[in-house]
Amino acid sequence: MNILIIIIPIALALGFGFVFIFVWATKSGQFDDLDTPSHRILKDDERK
Amino acid sequence: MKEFIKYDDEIVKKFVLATLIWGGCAFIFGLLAALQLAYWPLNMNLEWVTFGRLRPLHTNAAIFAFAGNAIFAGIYYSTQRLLKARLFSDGLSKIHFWGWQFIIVAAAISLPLGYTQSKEYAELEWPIDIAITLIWVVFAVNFFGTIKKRREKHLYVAIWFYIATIITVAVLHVVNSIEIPVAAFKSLPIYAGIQDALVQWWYGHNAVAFFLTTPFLGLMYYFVPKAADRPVYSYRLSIIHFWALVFIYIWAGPHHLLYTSLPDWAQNLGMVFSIMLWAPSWGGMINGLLTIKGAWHRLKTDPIIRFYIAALTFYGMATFEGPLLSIKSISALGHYTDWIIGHVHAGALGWNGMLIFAMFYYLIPRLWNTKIYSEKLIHHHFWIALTGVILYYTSMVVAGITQGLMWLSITPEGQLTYPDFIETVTKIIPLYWARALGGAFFIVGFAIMIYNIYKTIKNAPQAAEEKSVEVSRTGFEEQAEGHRKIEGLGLTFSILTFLAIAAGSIIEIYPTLSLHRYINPNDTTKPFSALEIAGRGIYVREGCYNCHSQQIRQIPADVLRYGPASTIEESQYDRPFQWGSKRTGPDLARIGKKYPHMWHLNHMLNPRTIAAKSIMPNYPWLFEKNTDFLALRREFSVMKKLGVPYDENTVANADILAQKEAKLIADDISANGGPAGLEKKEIVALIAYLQSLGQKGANP
Amino acid sequence: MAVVLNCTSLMANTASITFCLHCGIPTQGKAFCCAGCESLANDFSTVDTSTEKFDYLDQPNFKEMYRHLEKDFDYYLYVEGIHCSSCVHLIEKLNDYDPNILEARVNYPLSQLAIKTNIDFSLARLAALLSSWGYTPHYICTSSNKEDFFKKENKKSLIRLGVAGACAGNIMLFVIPVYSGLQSPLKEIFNWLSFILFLPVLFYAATPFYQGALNSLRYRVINVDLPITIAFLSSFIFSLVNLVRGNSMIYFDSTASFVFLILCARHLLKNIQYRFDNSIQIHDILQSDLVTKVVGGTETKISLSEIKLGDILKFERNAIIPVDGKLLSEKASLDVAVLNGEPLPQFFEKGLLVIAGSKILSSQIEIEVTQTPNSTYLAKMMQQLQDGTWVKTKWANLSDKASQYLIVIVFTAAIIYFVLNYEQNFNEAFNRSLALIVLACPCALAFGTPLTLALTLRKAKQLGILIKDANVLEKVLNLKNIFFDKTGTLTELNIHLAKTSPENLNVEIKEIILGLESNSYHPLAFALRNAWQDIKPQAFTSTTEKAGVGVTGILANQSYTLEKSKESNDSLCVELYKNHEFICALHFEEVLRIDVGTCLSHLNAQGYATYLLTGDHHNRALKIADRCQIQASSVFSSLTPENKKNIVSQHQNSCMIGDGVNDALAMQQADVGIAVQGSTFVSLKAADIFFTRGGLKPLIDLVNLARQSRKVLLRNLTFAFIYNATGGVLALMGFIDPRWAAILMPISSVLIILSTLVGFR
Repeated sequence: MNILIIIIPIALALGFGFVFIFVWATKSGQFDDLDTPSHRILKDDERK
Repeated sequence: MKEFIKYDDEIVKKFVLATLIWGGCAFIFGLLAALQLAYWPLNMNLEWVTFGRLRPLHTNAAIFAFAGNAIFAGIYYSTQRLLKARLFSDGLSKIHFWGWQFIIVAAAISLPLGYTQSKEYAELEWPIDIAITLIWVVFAVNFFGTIKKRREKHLYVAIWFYIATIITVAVLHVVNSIEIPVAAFKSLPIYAGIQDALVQWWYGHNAVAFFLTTPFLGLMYYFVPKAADRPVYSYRLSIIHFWALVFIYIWAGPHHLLYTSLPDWAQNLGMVFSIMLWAPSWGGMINGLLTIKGAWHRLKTDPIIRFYIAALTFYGMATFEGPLLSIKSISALGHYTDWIIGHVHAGALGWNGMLIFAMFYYLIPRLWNTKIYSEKLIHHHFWIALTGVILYYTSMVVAGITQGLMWLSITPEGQLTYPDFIETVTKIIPLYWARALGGAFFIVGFAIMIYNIYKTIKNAPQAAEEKSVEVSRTGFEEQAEGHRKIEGLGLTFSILTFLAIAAGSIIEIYPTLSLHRYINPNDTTKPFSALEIAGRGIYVREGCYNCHSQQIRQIPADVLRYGPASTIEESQYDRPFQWGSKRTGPDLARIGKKYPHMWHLNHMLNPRTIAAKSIMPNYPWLFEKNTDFLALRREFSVMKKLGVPYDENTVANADILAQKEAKLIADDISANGGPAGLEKKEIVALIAYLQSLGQKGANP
Repeated sequence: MAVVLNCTSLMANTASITFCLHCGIPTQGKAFCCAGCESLANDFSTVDTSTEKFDYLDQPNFKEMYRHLEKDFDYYLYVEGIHCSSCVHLIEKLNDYDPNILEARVNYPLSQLAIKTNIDFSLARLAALLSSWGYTPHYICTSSNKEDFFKKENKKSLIRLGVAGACAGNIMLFVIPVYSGLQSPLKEIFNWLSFILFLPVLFYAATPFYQGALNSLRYRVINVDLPITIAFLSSFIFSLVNLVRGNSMIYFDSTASFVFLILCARHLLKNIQYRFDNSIQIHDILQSDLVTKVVGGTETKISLSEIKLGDILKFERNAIIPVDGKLLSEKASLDVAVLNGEPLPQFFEKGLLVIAGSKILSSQIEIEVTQTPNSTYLAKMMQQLQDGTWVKTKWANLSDKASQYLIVIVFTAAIIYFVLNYEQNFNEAFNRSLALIVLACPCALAFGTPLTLALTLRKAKQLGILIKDANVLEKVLNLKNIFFDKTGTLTELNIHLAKTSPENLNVEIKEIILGLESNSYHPLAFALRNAWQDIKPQAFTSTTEKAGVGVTGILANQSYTLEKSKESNDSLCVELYKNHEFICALHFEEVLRIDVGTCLSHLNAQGYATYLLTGDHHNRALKIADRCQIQASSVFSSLTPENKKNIVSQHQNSCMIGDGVNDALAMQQADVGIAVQGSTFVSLKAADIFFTRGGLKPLIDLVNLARQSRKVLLRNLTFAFIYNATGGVLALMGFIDPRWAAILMPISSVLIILSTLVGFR
């Protein structure tokens, strides 16, 4: 059973970790504009 | 804020060429293996090319050499452009490239020599495992370093897929490779039996998920819009696709172990999450296809688009079939048959292969600053390859279902309709020929591609200077202190993802680590004897698990054919576990004591003397090579440390005990008319092991 | 999608289609679809960056006004014409063309450009650059807080969604093993874990429901949040009690996924609504052009928002006046067709009031502002149009009512059932009651109807139909009698030369007539120029225009006069005199709007009764009616506005389509009042529906759309009814336990939403 003492905190870290990343991404605006990035990648930068 | 930078395209070129070279090898190995199944003499009585050793070589070459190098090429090309930054370090890129090629060469040498851990797609022995870890870390540092110095704030969805790939593969590889070295090229896993099986299939499934799916989805989200010159149909959907896939994929592993002795709740967990996978997978496929739909007019002029359509269609097929095969009742039919082989190749040839070809047809003219030599040859390649994949897939599905039904078939009297296993094999031999033909088609197509690319590169302007591109920093400013809050991201994300996957993994692996809870405390299963362990090493070396399972499922047909269903206890000392995933030949879990020693001797020398139509190779070298008794002491001491209940005497005198056992068997053989003086030969050890199978439990 | 739609409409409209050489988008005869594509295909150098036209933008007050201080970027622009990836690429490379722009970021779906600049940045230069590329830039003033507020709320709701989703998923991970027969003590641990993971949902993700439920209690109005909250909390408490007692009926997983799915649906709905609102906001921005203000002798450009009462503004020919004001110039000739449908220009003397929306036909004029742009008729009209869009319709009210009844019935049934049965088996009774409550949640109704209406209005807008009040959709379905106004509705405001008397005029006379009209912007002049395109006007030594009467000119010492016919009262006839001697008469005629014929035959074929109502002469009305396939018996002419109203009021299920003031009463009287494109303000006010697209095709579209909308609504309501009736009975009979109810409920919501979305594809 002692393995659970490790599992539970890590499992919760998993839950909160994913949520944290998601919250970060939302707040920092990664999901603000979900259309333009798909256009932006289409054109390569000019070679000079 | 204009800047002029140069992308590192040289490293991309290197990975492209490596992909092509190793791809050729992987396909040839595959074709040879396919032909061996259709026509056994092609095993050539040579130990290095028998099917048992060739198949791991084929799978490793296809996954890690062909797909691996292609992934690196695609990731390095697209990442620089998506992040508007040159790769973090040229030095690391070079180490990554040459290190990876070195690993492949090491694999190509060690696998035919029989150095294997016998875990599918993780056969490579511990020194190579360590090298893989190191090179992967180099790759990760190079990649996250590039993210850190990026000039584009928004991380395009492809980058998210790459991040997930890098982190998860690292965790998978490390967890599955925790082993204790016994010799320079031999190790024992710390897990045993069901633990080992679960860890292995958690790895095996996720290797498919995070080595052959997520990076390719990332590449798809970059290269398909580029080829179609259309933005991805729904960027929103691609983001949802990512999060859903990453969350669900990691839990689906136990579907490889349905009806085995794995506890029911773990099987159900795997089944439910496998079925749930269907939705995000199809979301991704539809997103890709609809992206192309906007560019139908290019279909006429642009053969590359066809490859993408084919790739996405095969992806959709495979990701539909996968959840289907995870349903217990369907798994009962499909598991251990060639259906799985067909399923895997629909993914590998159809999805990965086609996507790589399309990507290369797009990349190569750009990298070498020229035009493709012949568009027409691309068309030919497409149609030939497509024919090949379809032929391969259909023949294997038909073979799998045919054989599966024959195995399951029970007469009204409650007897097996096809009690003779060989009957079910000869039935599908024609389909093996068809499969080999399909593979040959695929190779012909590939050869056309190689020629086309060779001509293209040859016609390319020589000594083209590396051109710089003009990029500007968008989306966020470079702050004077050179410190950006966001930069914590790469690290934070890595750590959190690591934790997440680690935690998920531990939860899944938990039952294995608390194995004692599932093992009857009154259990009296005995560990293998010294000679049996020596024989087991040979069994592993020859890759017997590639064709023979050691796990009788809890379904009537299995029990009728092979005996009582396997229990957790029986394999509790198996290091590595030998449950297998394919039954080209019959299950061996209870083969022990079923036949006399002489039967096994003759069978290993030439299986045709026992079953006239057998397709198993001959193993003449087992009669010549001597068993390495001395190595047993070291192995036994490691096993004792890992908790196998051997007494001090067994460990200290393992070699002597083994030789004593060998003498008994050799005497029995010569007494029954067999050749004398075999006691030092490997065949005796192997026979000892085979005779012990199913004999160790409480009620054999 | 938008691009694709554009393409197909282009294909339909143009006979010869060419394709953009770069991206393959169909273009009208041009090599490239946009500057972006051209720049990528060729070496691209900017053609014309003369900033003259935009110099006013560099006045300090503009820089201040447009600068966004608290945001990530300095300036925001709405750039008309961004339509493909190449556009995004080119515009984000602005730094190459203007080093003072440090960074440019495009938001494609909003057609917005955000830029960061250094101190030397010139607004004029950017505007000139963008317009030289073929885009139309509009700087956006420091925006209302509404948008920021929405963005903030949207992020919050997304995070709530993420939290609920992650928790629901993780709970499921722990619950599946339990369902599959995991044994103690792991089972208890996993159950407690799912409880812990439920807490973020309870305390964070579900908070909007509590708020709604509180409001419901506070204002004594039953809303959907109330049953959701009750179901949610009772399911939670039930599970918690069972968890503590060690029973197996624990539903954290399904309760969390129930919250997750409702949040998903709401997020989706909010975003659709926001996009709808937002498209109207963009409409506002488009109007915010600049005007010239005169102070003393100096002229400055100011924005509409800076206009104050009493300002003196100057307008050039062809400008549309954005304010109501007093004319300061001596005379002005204005096209006020928009105001009253009158096809001919109106003449204004100094001191008269001119109204916003008028177009200037004469040379430049000055005006003293009496109503700022926000308080003009036009503005009020637009305001009404916008406010009207979200008025709850009867349909919406109906389904709200339905859901209120549903809630009352369901709760009554659940409580009665529980009271009757709890003594026999407390758990079972509670279970079944809970299942009923959870299952019968009226979300399906509550989401389905507003979503349907929102989508209807959005689609209508795309089709060029602005609907003030979605209520009217129901009436559109019942229409039987359709009344048409003539001028401006069936006919164009433009006129054309029908005949001359004598019939054949010689070239000299035509030259003289054209010469006389050569400086005129009177519609008759245009009609003449159109008719005699290959004839060159005579150069008169001098011409004098007498407003409202005619024009006199001297040529070779002869005096020519072109003036309104004195005999007929018909303003569509003018006569030419040479030294007061009659030479010839010119008769003009109205032109039918382009699609009137097909639309009316379509309507007739569908069984609608069509009528013509006009204040015009009977003969002319009959002529038009004949051409429009309206029966002679249905033609009513020489009507006053009151007459029109009376005729309409005698018919049931009527629709009045018109454009002028004289139609307004009838429009108000009719069940459905429709103002066509170019209608007057008063009629706009009276109308329920306003076409922003020319012709009558929008009428057909409107009818089809209303049918489509009803179909979707009925489908949703039928589904909700069947689902609730069967589900409710099954739940009380014990066939559906709360867990399945909690799974079925959100699935039904999702189905309703999907069915709605599919219905409007």
